[in-house]
Amino acid sequence: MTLTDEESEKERNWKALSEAGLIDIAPDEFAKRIKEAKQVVMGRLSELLERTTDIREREAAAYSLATLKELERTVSRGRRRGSD
Amino acid sequence: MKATEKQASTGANWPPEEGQIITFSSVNGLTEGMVKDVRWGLVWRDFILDDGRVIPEHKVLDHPEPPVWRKPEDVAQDEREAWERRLVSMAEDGLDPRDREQPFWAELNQYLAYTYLRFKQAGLKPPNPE
Repeated sequence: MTLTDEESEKERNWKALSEAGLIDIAPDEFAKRIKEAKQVVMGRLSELLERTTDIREREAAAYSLATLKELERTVSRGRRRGSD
Repeated sequence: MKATEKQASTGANWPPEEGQIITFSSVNGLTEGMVKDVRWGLVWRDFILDDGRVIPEHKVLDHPEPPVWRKPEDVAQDEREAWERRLVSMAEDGLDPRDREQPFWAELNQYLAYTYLRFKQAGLKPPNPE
């Protein structure tokens, strides 16, 4: 990869995260962003389950999904407590 | 500012080191703080201030453009798993990610950014034969 390719990849990443609202998450948007991240991981996991390759990525995706579910549960519990 | 405190600057002196003062954008506008430590996260570099606040590099005034980021594939499995365990532990301890500039807010923000970049973009690349 050339330096120019790397620079444009960085810019693409910045733009992608910016559009997804993930550069600087507003405090009341975490539950929504976790849900969206879960959807991204589930989409990728569905693709990976159709293949016999990419076993490590499949395991990583499954692990990340479990983490996101746990975070979603605790963050939403905190929100309910905060609104009581 | 005390005479021993140095104001951080860009160029060859980047990133700021321990003891230097950085100016960063915050919800209250531009704010200053003293760097205690500089750490790489899953995507970007964080500045840990002496009062415990965690400031992402791209919020620091005069940071290099574009900011230096890691590629998702450069993050080792062990590092990612340790990060995930730490996040779950902080959540179980009752920390609130809505506390801006605190470690849980900073680590969860980076984790969601990393997860998005890793799995969204991986889906756009051709399959990797193993």
